Amino acid sequence: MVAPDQVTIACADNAVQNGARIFLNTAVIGLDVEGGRITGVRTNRGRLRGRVVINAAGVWADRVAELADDRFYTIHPRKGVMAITDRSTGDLQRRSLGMMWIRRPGRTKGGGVSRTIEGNLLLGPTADEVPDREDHGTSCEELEALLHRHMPLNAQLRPDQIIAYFAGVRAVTFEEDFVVEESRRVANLIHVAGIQSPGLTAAPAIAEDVRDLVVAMLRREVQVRARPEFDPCRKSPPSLSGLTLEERHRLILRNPAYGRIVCRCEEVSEGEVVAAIGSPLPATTVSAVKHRTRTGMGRCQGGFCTPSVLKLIAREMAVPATRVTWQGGDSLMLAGETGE
Amino acid sequence: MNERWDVVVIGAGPAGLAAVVAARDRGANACLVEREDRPGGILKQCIHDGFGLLRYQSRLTGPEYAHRELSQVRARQIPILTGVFLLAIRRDDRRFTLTLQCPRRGVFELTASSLVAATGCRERTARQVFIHGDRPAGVYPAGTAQRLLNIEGLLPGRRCVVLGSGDVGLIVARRLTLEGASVEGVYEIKPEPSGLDRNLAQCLDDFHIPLHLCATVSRIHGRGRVSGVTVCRVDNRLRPIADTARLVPCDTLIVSVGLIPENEILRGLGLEFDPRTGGPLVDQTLQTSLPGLFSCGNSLQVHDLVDHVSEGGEIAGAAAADHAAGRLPAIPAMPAVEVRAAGELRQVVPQRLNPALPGRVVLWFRARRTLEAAALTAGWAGKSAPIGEYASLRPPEMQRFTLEYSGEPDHLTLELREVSGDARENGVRAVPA
Ligand SMILES: Cc1cc2nc3c(=O)[nH]c(=O)nc-3n(C[C@H](O)[C@H](O)[C@H](O)COP(=O)(O)OP(=O)(O)OC[C@H]3O[C@@H](n4cnc5c(N)ncnc54)[C@H](O)[C@@H]3O)c2cc1C
Ligand SMILES: Cc1cc2nc3c(=O)[nH]c(=O)nc-3n(C[C@H](O)[C@H](O)[C@H](O)COP(=O)(O)OP(=O)(O)OC[C@H]3O[C@@H](n4cnc5c(N)ncnc54)[C@H](O)[C@@H]3O)c2cc1C
Repeated sequence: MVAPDQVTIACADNAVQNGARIFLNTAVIGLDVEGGRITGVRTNRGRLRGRVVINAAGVWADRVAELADDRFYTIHPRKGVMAITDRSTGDLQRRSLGMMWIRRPGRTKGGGVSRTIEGNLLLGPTADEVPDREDHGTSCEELEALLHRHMPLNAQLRPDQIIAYFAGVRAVTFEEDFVVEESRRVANLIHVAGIQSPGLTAAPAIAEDVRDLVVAMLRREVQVRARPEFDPCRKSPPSLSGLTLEERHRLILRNPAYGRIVCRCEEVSEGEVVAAIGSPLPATTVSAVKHRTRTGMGRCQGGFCTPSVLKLIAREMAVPATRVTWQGGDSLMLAGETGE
Repeated sequence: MNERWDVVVIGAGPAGLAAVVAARDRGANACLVEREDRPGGILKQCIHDGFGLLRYQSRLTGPEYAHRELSQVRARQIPILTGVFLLAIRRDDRRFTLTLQCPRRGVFELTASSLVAATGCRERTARQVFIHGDRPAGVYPAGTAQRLLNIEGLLPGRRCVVLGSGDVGLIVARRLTLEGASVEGVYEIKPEPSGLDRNLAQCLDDFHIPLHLCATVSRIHGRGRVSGVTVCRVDNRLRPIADTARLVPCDTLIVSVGLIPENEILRGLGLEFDPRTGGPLVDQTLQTSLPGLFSCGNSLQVHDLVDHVSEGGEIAGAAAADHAAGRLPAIPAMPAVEVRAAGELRQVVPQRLNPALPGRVVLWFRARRTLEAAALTAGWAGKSAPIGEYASLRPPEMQRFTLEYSGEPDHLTLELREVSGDARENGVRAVPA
């Protein structure tokens, strides 16, 4: 069991530590193809150029392929709803429980009740075909279906123990298989598409295949050598929950910000929030800080810590609190100041 | 760094402040532990008035009330450890050991003979009442919105819908209006509002904010910021009636759907809880089922009047001092004397009586539903005696009364009955305690 957001964040930080650049809030809107190769990647924030282009656009991968006139697969969205219970339920089971549903090949594992690494129980996910590729909302019917199916797996679970529920959308091809290959029509394009469940588990292996494809592609044009300074180990900031009391004590005396608890449900300190905001790939929104540090992920769901997190982001980024967003774009947290 | 105390009080809201003063006045060596940087608890953000009508016979704001309580603590030079976060409580050898952390001292320990838990409450979230839809910015629990407005000077939104008619939501609706935001309406799923009458009048009616009963928010819309909510009426089983759904454009949803006593820090100690109050089971000294551990304020049960909170704090603090000094008689080893709630009673605190402690007992109760006229009786082993009659009882209003307890080892049954309208016309009035 891993925390999927932590794995992704760790990879992103490590990539940046090794010299990669990540442009967030940057959407690909066009691909310039000349003479059978991509010469420019057009985005909402300008044009990028690269020797090799990798299309790993998840549920939008077929659309991106189409931008290069190379759409040989289609993605249809399959939504999964999940629910998380209060940590106090973590002692109710140690293993993952699931029913062997009679299922068509290629379908999901069927979901169940499993214990997350933080000690909450996770119910689900469901699997339903939906029209909207970014349908991350939930409905009463979907949640009821989820509870009806998975709650009985552990007789001690009750609906009032649920603290959060949410949805994700899997990117599924009609063949129900991953597409990991060079384009046959565009010389410098690689497709990594249809990475549906268990795509997270498969990701490290897929990455090695893609690396080999990239190297082979580059070698047709330039020399490729391993970089001796490459460091595959991420330097992650300390997290109080992983420390002994003695280590915690010494850390606080070194940096008192680790002594100030911001999120009381998940016991996250100011020091951890500040470190997240200043990480290689900076967490500059309330949601980004939440995913990195777990502020607001506990039983009160951010009731107590949101104002503090907001103020810390504003302080560290030297912007007014009224400019802080939930998830970038137009998701402003506040409307203004009082007394205006 | 081991510090020994007779009494440690956790939480410096009005309950904890009153408790620590009472403990000191009974001779205990007592201190307060508070995780925020300033004492006062939730009162710090309650800048409206209406606090202290019973205790100080005047209408104070929350910060003024807190200031009066705090000056009692300061006058006695009782230490308040602020910015201190409680990591764990252990009980061994009849003493409690608290593991704490703070920026200045790192991780340290305190021990105490008695503990008073006065940790307040938290808000029920939108997720806990199963609100669905998108997950945009702009959904705030009412207390969070109140803190943003009154402490941080920040405006959460300009066009708001309030879900739930709890007091905090009503007060925030008025506050938002005063800040120039518009409140489109308050939606309450039940046929009756859950806030106090005076808040309905002063926060909604005076500002022309509509209250919609038997109605709820069924869906949140918006991918960046909230763009609107779907509201609909519900049937008598509280299920949404689909064809009444209507979209209300707004940029903010304020959620005021109830408060939950905060006792997470006590969960590992193995004490008994009352599912009706959400707090520990206590006897008339507010001692929990774990000897030496006392509970008061909103962590014992959610209060609507701070004056009752302070009184409970005093009871718990004084008893905690007595326990530390060995003066509090232990509950005799026999089946506990229960206080049973019957008839229209939803909950009663205390839920137990210690027969070794005869004398005056303070009790608090809430009715299950709104009653135009009601009578409360106390029954001991077949005998029953009237306690009081009430002209109007609503579940949001907690009632207090006192009882002379003789040390009777039988269970006490409190029964609340509705009485006919005639009785009311005959001039029966509430008996304020
Ligand atoms: C409910 C659910 C449960 C799952 N359970 C498991 C499990 O138990 N085990 C497991 O191994 N896997 C599981 N998975 C699958 C796993 O999460 C996915 O396979 C994995 O996230 C796919 O990774 P990806 O990089 O291909 O796509 P994504 O994670 O979708 O990343 C694609 C990225 O591309 C970006 N993008 C899209 N279009 C553009 C554009 N035009 N311009 C710029 N950027 C763009 C998107 O914003 C996104 O960030 C689950 C998935 C779901 C939905
Ligand atoms: C928004 C609102 C409006 C109200 N309006 C009125 C009104 O108009 N009139 C009226 O009479 N009453 C009113 N009340 C009711 C009354 O004021 C409150 O019930 C009362 O303040 C609760 O006091 P308390 O001490 O139990 O809790 P709180 O005031 O919540 O204090 C609890 C304290 O404990 C601390 N704490 C919690 N856990 C820990 C821990 N683990 N370690 C250290 N410290 C901890 C908290 O930080 C907090 O400071 C209102 C209540 C609310 C919430």
